[in-house]
Amino acid sequence: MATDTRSLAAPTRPSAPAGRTRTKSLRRQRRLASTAMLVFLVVSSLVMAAPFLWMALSSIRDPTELARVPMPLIPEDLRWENYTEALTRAPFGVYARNSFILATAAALLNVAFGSACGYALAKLRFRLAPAVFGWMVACIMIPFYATVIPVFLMVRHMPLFGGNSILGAGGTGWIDTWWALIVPGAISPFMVFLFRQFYVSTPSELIEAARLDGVSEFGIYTRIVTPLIKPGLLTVALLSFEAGWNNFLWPLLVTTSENLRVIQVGISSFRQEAATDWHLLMAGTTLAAVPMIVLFLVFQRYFVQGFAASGIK
Amino acid sequence: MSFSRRTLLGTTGAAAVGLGAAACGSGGALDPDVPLDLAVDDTDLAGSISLLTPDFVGDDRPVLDQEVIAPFTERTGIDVSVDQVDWNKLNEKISTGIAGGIIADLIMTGVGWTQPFAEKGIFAEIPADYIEGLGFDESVLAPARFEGKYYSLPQALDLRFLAYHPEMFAAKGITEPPTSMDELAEVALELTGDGVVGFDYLSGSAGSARQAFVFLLYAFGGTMFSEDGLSTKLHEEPGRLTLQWMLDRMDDGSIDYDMQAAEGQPSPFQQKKAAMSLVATGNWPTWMQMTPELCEEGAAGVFLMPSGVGGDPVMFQGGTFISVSSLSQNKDAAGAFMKHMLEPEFLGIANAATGKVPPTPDIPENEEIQSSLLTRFGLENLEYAGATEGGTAGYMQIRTNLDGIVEGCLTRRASVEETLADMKSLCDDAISRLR
Repeated sequence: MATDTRSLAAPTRPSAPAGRTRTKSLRRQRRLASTAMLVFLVVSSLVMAAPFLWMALSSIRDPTELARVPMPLIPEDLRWENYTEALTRAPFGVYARNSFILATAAALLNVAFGSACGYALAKLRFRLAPAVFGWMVACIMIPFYATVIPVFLMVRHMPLFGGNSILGAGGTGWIDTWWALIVPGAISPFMVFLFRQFYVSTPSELIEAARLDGVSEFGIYTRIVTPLIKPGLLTVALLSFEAGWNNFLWPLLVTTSENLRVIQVGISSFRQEAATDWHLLMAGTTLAAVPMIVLFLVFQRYFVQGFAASGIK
Repeated sequence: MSFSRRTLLGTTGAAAVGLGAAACGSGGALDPDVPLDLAVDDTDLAGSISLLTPDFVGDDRPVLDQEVIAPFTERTGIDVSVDQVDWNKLNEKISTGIAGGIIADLIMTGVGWTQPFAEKGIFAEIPADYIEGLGFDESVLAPARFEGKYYSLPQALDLRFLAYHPEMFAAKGITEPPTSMDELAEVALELTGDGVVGFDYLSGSAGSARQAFVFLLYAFGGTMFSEDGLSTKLHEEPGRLTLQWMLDRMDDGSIDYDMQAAEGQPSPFQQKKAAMSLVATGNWPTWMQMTPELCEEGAAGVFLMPSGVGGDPVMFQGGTFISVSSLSQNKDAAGAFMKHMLEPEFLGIANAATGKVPPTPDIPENEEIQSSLLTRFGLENLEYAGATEGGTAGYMQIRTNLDGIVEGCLTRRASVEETLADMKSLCDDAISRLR
């Protein structure tokens, strides 16, 4: 059967002016689309940033202005002394130092222990690996409120600490000590899970080659594979630091001394049963938020990369 | 059946109490059966004690340290360490402390908390002869009792009643505050209009929907629980009348459920968007800061919630109660400090700092306390402060869930009958766990 293929093989080319018009139209469409996208992103960013902007603006408002109806959007008088007043109302220097120590310890310990666990679950072959991993994932689902009392009991009955006997009785254990603040947050199943996801994506051939070259298992973990997941290390460090910095309930439960209280507990001192010093609360909250915002701005590239690479987005 | 975080924590806490107590027992240091002796001489006291308090936040803390604790330490040589915890997390702090067996020697809690912790054996019984000597009104002592014995004492009160704008009353030719619930309803309706709501009762500026319900319940002659705390009375006729009264006011527009002031903003009453309002004595510092004109003489009027059944008017009582822990290793010193805090001089100093109301008017002249119209009115009417939350040992499991049930009725998600049935079911469930 004869078929005329010429008409299919040789499509007619548009004339030059018509082509230019279409290119222009395409360009205009692209420009419109990118402008619309830009507007959408700017609006979304503003919506996302609005609570933080509101917090920052309220932190320099006069209390009478906060009470005005309607409240002006931009503060009329900039009351910077809200910050100094907030700092004198509670020992924020001590609280900030404690939060920093707690957050740094949480970041370092989670990176150290979490990466070791994650590496073992992802790259070491042992029979119980899937079961241990499943158990880890299941642990993520257990809410903090369900574990708080068992963990509190462990901390309180820690043998040979705080006057406790070898059976963990007679004293206060780790209560009101740095141990109680740091150790329970030193490892989290979520961080192990995150690390495992990072390590799974690294090439096993490298590990096999290193083994052939006689590198020890610890050397492979520290010198060969872990350097490949730098975004993962930073992601976990940042998330752990954030969790430690924002930790409120646990430090409140296990400490009684003012010199062990953390910044989030300090901020709550601006809230009373019947009244709240909103201007001071906002100043305190802004101060507490700044380190996290700065950290995120500095490391955001790695942070986003880390989440993208681990498949958690 | 739903589980809140508090329920989850409470349940695991209760389960852990035995384990904690067993571990403490092996230490042999604590004996909950040692009675509290309030007659120990100061010279026989030694050691240190701890105080767990949700009050004395921020600027109030130096007053506690320097003007209340320091004189006690100077007199007795006892060191007092303070553990200050937000009201919202107080239950968690106490629950974990109980589980771990290291609860503070003195614990400050709220109205409705005494019975649950007394039933668990956490609070030590306070000798009745000491309480009789204090001369406190029966109305403020009732929340301190469990099974006829005292386990706490009021240190500070937060009283609630009604306030009105006199000029709005005058504009409508109303000369006297209402004296019955029917009159209150009529006046509220008359004052409604021109952008003003007659009665701001549910905006939350003076307590939750649960507390608003409980307040009205007493006005209608009801109580929350039976005398022994082992059965609920919420589902009875006064409960039905209370819910129906609120719904009727919402129907005629004199109560607006949607009227809410944003946090940090003045209440509808302060903004003069409401002619009458439920107010708390603790609102005064906010009035002073945000709307000082409302604090001027004659700018606001106050009156008690009238009775709905022809009885006495009613005032709602919240507050901070102090207890000695039965697990305290230094009960004598803890008892001595409790006595110290309840001395008229220190009641005055502490309440002037926290902006609360002392549990007795018999305190030395105190300018800060006297300067508050709301505190003065509360103190003058202490005998009517009979509307209180609690009354059963199961109340900690009930209080938060009751809020949702009341709100469900007010937002028409449940009928009055369904709401009363839900309340009964919630209370029966909590009380059944006590047996």
